[in-house]
Amino acid sequence: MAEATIQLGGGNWAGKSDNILGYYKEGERFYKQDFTFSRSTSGTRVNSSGLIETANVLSSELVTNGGFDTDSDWNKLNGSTISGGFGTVIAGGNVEAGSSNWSLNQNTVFSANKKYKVNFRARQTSGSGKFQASRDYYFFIDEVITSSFVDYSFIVDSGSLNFTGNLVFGGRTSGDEFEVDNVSVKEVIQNNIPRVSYLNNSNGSLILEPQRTNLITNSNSNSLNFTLDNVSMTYNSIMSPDGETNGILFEQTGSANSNSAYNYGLTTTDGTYSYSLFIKAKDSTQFRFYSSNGASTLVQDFNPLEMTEGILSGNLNLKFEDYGNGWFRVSFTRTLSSAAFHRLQIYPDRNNTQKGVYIFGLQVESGGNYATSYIPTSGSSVTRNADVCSITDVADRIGQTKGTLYSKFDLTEDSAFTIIEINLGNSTNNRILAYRNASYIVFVVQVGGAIEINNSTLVTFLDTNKIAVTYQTDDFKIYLNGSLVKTYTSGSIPSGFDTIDLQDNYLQGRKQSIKDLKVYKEILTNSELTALTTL
Amino acid sequence: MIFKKYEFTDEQWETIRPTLYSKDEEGNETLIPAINAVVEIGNICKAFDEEGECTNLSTMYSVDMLLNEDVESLEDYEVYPDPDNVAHYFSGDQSLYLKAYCIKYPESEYCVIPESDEDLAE
Repeated sequence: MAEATIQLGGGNWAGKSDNILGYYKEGERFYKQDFTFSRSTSGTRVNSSGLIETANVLSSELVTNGGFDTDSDWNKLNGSTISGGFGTVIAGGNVEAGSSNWSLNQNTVFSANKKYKVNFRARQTSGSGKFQASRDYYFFIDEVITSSFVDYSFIVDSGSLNFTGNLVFGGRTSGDEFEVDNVSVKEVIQNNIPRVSYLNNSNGSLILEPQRTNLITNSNSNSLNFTLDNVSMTYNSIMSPDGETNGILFEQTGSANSNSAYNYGLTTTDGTYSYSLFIKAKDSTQFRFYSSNGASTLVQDFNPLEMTEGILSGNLNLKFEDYGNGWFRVSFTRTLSSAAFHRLQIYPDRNNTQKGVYIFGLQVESGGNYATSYIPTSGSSVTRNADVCSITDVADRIGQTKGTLYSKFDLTEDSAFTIIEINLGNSTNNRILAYRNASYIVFVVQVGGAIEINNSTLVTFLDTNKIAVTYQTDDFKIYLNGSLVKTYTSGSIPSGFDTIDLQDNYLQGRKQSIKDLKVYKEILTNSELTALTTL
Repeated sequence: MIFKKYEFTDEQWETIRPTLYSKDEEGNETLIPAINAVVEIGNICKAFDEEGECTNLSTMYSVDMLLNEDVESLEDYEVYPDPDNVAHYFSGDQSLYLKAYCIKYPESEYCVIPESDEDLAE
């Protein structure tokens, strides 16, 4: 079989700010061919360890001599020293009181309006007062530490406070001594980072999602914006899907099966809303979702001890997604129209036996009939912007008179989305496009704005699909999951293909999950197409 | 990128919203190049009762935008709530609002960087 002239994914993923790695192979060598990517906000994904995280990359090291290998690069006050591979911090008093108490510090490590990952290890060697680590006057750590080295690691947002950018170590009680080592500060870059999700998928898939806002202003704290009626929420009770011990124990404490947590003040703006909550079984055998869109009230109960992946038929048609370690994301949708009120209510134990479940990450989002990736919030509603991805100026990589386009993709909840497209100048006037529309593959060929082909083929999509499209004048074929599903024997093709567009201009902001994409300059044989698209 | 917050009357927003988008022949909307993202927050609830129902709904329609460049026609509608009390932000871009706020109010307590130990004395 001919070599693909551009590939994306197939288990080979690498991303950085503004790019995701595409590549091609010639002989035994691989060459990069970056796809451009943008999403001017951060976004979460499931990483290769199966944990939800904010997609990010780290900058190069910003601390000089963080291992204290030499007696240099640090400002030493109050008798602090560097020797033996450690920084010895002699406390001068609260670092908040003035820079003269910044016993060991390095200038201008931090800049404004950025996020940083800070790592170091520290121990106390003399005294019993608190150890302090800060950027200027603002603490990362202000606590008593042990006499054995402990590793510290945390993310700080420089934009939420004002400062001049020094990394500072000190102690509250003058004369106390501490040792620090392995100091590292790196910028955490989260915007415009492509998201490869490994949710139930060890090879990963590039997820492209629409702009969505989590309207819940405290998605995992402050009772999740609920009023509690004889129920309790105990924070930090269990490891959550993000790997931290921040799952919430949600239990009935009263003696009525109506005991619940409720939010009766959700926005009443017209639209379709998706509601989602991560749930892990404890001992309750009957959990309830209650939803009112102002016109009708729907409830649905289920047994948390019997959760399985899929949709549970009922009034709300609850959807269960398995996030591992016993956690399921449970979601449903409702539509509001001129609603007088908008209510959401959850009951930990409708059996009235004072039992409960673990919960995490409540999300209520408007704008579509499916839940998107988790958007953490803390005090405000938060918007994740839409993902955008394409590669331009690759005319030499695309067959100009004939070729084959291949994609392995997941059937997302979105009823319409781009499957594969090549075009000229990122325009819809000259393009070959295959897209999903419900149970159809719609195939479009346009030349100079004129439609050569615009036809739908009824197919059976699976959860994951492989499609190949061949093109040349008066000869087009579509293979899906090992079978030829459509042939077109007339139609011209545009000239000057230079763009592979993961999202057609008319299909921006749709949910896509792309596992593998390949472009060939050749038309593969029927047997090759069958083999390529067989699952 | 610039993060700005706006408030409009319903009539103002009805007039202004179409100017933020271009439309193709099929009616598909695309934001004008100066604007990266628009979030229509709507009428913000300023107070809730014990049941959590809104008792004081703002009459103004709130909209947040991420801008690629300032949009002069929107300047009259900008609002600047305190940075620690905003109803909405763009994920990971909290500091962008502070930046816009401090350009508008450079002398605010949120914006002044302590220059000496005396500035920090209690």
